[in-house]
Amino acid sequence: ADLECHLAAVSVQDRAQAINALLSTRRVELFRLGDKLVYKQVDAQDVAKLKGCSQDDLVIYQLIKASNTTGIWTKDLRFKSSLSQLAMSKALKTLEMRKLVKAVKSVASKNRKVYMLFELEPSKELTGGAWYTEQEFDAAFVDVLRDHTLKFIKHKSRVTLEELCEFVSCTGMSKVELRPDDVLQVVNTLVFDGLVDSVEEPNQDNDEEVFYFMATLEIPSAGPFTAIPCGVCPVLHECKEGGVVSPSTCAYYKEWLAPCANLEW
Amino acid sequence: MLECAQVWCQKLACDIVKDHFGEIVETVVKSLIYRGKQSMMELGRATKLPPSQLKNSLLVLLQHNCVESFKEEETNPDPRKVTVTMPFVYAASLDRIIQRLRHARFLVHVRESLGERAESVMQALLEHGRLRSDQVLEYVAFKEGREMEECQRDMEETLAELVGAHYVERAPPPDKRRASTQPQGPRKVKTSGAAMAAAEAAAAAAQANLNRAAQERFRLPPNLQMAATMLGKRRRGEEVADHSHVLGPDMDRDTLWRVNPEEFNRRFRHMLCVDLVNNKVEPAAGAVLNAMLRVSREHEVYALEDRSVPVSDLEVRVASEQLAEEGAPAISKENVVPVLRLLLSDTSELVSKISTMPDGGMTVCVNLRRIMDLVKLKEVEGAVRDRFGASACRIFRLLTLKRQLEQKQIAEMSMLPVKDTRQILYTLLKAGYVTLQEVAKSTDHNPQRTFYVWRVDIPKSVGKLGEETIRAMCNLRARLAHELNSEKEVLDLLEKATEAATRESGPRVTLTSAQRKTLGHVRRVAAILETRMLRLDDLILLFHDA
Repeated sequence: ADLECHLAAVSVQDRAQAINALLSTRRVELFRLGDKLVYKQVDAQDVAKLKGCSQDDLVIYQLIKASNTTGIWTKDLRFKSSLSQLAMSKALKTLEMRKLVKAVKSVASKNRKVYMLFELEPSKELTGGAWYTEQEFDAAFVDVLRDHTLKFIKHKSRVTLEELCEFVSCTGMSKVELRPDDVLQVVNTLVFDGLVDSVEEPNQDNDEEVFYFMATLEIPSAGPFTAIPCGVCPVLHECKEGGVVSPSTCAYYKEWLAPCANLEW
Repeated sequence: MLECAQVWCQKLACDIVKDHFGEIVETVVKSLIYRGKQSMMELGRATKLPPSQLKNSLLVLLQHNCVESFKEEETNPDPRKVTVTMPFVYAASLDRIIQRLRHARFLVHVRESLGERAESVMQALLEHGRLRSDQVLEYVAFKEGREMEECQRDMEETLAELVGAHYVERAPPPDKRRASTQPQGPRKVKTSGAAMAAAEAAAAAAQANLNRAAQERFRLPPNLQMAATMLGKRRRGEEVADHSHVLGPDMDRDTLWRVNPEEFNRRFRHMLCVDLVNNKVEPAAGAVLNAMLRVSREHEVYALEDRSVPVSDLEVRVASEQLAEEGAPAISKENVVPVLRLLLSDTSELVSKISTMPDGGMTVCVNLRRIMDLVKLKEVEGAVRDRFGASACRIFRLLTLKRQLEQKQIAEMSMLPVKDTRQILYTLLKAGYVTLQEVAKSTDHNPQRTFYVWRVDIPKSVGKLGEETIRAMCNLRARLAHELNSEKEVLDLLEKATEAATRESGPRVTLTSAQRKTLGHVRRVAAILETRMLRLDDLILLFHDA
């Protein structure tokens, strides 16, 4: 409708012919906005990129472009484009050779191939963020970070999240830039382990700020219940006198009491 | 006792009675525990024991306070009916039976707080269940190797002190009416004013009844009252004339005294609270809390109060001075109020302010229930960590802090791999420490379109651990019995050898080196198992009686 207004001089058929010609040479792209059809001019760069591509290639390329940084799985791609397996693979190969798309591995599902545009960075969900190196959860890295953070909190006895972020970036423990959210995640694991407590208090600017300090109430070490075999027994609920598992015949007790065998009276 | 642990508590109680009193008595108590209160006739029918054995078993159980006797109240007294003599009804007290395991701890506590003579008196009462004061005197005199007349005054003073501290109480009469142990407080809030007023009046009446009963339990007969006053005078350094020749006959000749485990449990509960505050806040705060509990202790009616009685800061200062005199950690008068303020500002609400008085002072009370809940939760967390691993403890704490989460969120927040998280969650679910809730988006409960939400129900987890401690205690006892049974021959031989050694004449019994080795093994095993039982009893106290 907008085009009609601007090109009132040109007739409908001429307009349609012109648009079709532009579409075939890929100078214009077609989108659907609700009920209406909208035409957009394509950049010269993109035109060069897509020159010589077949119809299939273009369909695949559009779908991949639409998925942005999340990427799209091969099966989804096949479903949406309704192409055969062979045609789709051929199109993908062409696009990859022309360096228009790339395959990325996802941490969530290691066997899947996810495709996205060449220039884009994979999103956090795919790579797993700072904690994943080469698709594997880097537990050692997280542990090191936790230990150092704990020592820092112990040393300073009362810190805010900002101070922690500063500390982490100063020591240069991580190759990747760690954002405040990541540091918060690490500190929270310390809170969940019962090693660190947090409290919200107003600071100088009368804002609510969270302070972290060493936990006042520690989780008790081996209590009377877990010091006996029953406390850590995996079959405690099946144990009863006269049954297959019973206190009299318990192998765990036998092992636990074995050191007393060699004592003189 | 916790409801969910009921089955195991019953089993443990039967086991204890069998161990201490024999199988016949166990049959009687088993019938009472599993079938509820019964009269003698009903018991005879249920146990099929000859009357003499039944009577003797009941006497033993009553003597040792494992069973209580009372007369049933008639619910619909019909004036037209001819008066029929109500039979006595007997009921087992599970709590008291299981607390028999705690006797050693009672003795240690009494010795530390009141001295060795008090310990002897307690030992007499614990060994024999209930005694008159002259029987106690006999026991103490024999133990100390003195004549009865010599120790009468000292023994009476000690007994009066024990009753004054509520460690010892009067044994209830055999025909008491069964009174309700909890007041019917106005829990269901009724909207009509008249109904509320009636409920309040009923609660007040029940409370008054309870106070009267409490006073009767610890009422001293005249000669012990005199002994108590003399002791007080001596403590204060005043002149005490020797009134021993004036002491008249004991007018309450039939009073039987017995140990009151409730008071001990209350003291241990207070000690646990003070320990927690020592660790969480600071030792000075622990001292102040000790003083507060000391003041409110005399007014506590039930063993498991939610909050202590409100006390003013002046009373706290006086009490802390008294405690300092008795050797507890001192805290100066000026420090009491700042430390109270520190306690009030703690986020866990261990202590609450009730009101501010016109002269600037304040009344505060201790939130005992809150403190005990914290202690129990910490124990549960420790048990989860030792049993299922540090990652499981992290997940458990995460769920207690965040209330409810999905599996993916749990894996993300705890920074554990998804596979491990799933495994740990299902292990915890099987053990009963977490629960899973389905929240369906569609009516057909399609798994693809349902949220699966994980939660921790803290009272349920605490109850589960409580049940498991009782179960572990049963297992420990079973194992000890088995170990002793398997070496029965050697133990019998040992007994014969010791008997022969004490006798002057008769054949000597010697043991081979292999037998000695076995004995060493058995002795060590028994020692280990018994120490573990004593320590486990601390946990049972925490979960069931505190």
